[in-house]
Amino acid sequence: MRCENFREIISLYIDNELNQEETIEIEKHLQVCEKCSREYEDLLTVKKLLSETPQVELPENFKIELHKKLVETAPQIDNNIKIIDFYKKPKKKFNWKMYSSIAAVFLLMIVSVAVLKNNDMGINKFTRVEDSVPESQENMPMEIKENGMMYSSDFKRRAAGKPGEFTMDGSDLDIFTKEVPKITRDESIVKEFTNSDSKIILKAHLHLGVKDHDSAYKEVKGLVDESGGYIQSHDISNKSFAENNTKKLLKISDMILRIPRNKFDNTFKELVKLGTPVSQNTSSHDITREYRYTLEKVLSLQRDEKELREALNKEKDISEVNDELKRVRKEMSKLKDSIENWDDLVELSTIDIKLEEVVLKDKGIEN
Amino acid sequence: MSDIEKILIEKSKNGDIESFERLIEKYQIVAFNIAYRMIGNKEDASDIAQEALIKVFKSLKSFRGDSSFSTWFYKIVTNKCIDAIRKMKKVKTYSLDKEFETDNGNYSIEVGDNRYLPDKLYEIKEKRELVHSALKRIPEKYRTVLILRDIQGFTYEEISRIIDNPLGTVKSRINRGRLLLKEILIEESELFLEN
Repeated sequence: MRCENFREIISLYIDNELNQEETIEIEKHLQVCEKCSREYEDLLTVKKLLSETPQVELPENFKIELHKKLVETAPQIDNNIKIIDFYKKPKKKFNWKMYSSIAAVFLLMIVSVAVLKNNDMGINKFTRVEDSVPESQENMPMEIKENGMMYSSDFKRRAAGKPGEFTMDGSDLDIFTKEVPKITRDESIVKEFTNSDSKIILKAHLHLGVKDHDSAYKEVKGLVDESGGYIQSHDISNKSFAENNTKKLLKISDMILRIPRNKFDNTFKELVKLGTPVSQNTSSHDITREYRYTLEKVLSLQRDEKELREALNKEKDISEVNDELKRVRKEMSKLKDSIENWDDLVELSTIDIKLEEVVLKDKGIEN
Repeated sequence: MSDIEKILIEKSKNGDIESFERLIEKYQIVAFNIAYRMIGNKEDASDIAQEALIKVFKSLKSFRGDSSFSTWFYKIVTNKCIDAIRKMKKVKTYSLDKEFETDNGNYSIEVGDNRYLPDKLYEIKEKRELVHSALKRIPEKYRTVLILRDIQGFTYEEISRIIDNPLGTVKSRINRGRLLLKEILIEESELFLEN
């Protein structure tokens, strides 16, 4: 074997990818050629160095960032929640095409609800608007048409009312809650969202050095009460203190405060004044997109649930439907939990505060 | 592919984020590490790995399941990395590839003289840093196979499927890649010792 050929396949030898014949050739050459056997050792070293390269950990916020991006991407994938696209670019102009197609969607939904359900529940809702409507099925299509038109004009009115700032945000959710209450059984969740446009979680961390723990604690409590919030948790511990022959036992408090979001800024400012800040930071986390996405998902699950319940009445093979219904309900309650949790976090900002009693060595600093 | 994986894939195809996150749980760290070694810094690697994962999420519908998910997955990851590297190069308008490229486009490697790698490395404690920066200097087609083979431990066959090239190409790239890396390591360790 010539050195050139050796160099061509030496890595394969290292990786045990050669057949027996080639392996023997290589080994023979290794014994006679010093240059090539050095090369071989060099390459073994290269391979060893590479294989010792450590696996690095994922960056701290990798999964969170990814999750956000996935949430932004998901609506493009899931056909059931196409409606979310409307939220993405709030339209300033009145768009007939869009609204008429939305109206068509609702029309369709109402038809399906009415046809599927075929009970007075659905019809009653519709007749609330129009006074005298017979409860016979032949009249349904006309009835629905009227409702469809009503929606359109409703949109128009809204658009005309505030032309500059009219957006699709929440409006169609409004319709979900107002006009088709049977579909959204849990109205409270949905309605709440329509009231405010963005969902922002405010958080703060504050570590304070204080001269007198107990009086600082009282002041914190005062501020919390004033804001209408509450203290979620409070731990007090004693700091072992071996410096400067001080006999006084120093206290440390760790508290989690929940402050209504509109009082957050002021309360935080006041809290900072209570001592010497060791560290502090505030952060806001906008979850509007995730929130809307989850909300839509709940709505779609509620529709699934309804269909399944109906299927349950008709089908003979119940166990399969039952399982599916269980799954839907489980998922729905999980999503609702996270919505409730978000609501709580948005409504009440969270401040975690540490009060650390300190003895100032230099009396001069004290004032 | 396990049954659970199949279920998670089906659910992810419908846009179920939670299932997708479970599906990629064990793959994403490898994806990030491939990107990190390919690109060289963690910030860009993180962005690119995420882009790749989003692409996986988006194109799952076209995954037919006739190849293994992991191969398909890593194919997307390595392609994203190579794309990103090419874009970065355009910005820099400077190619390190040229260093070893001859007029006819082949890579020439001088036969090593009396320079002997283990001796050079003996005195160097920062071997990891040295390897990391040396890797960045070899052309990405060699870098890719070395990362897959020697850092991540894929087999030749797997690499062949991931980079969509015949086994023969993989074999020669691994061989040439190691030879190139060796030369650069010797060079870098000499530089290192001089300073």
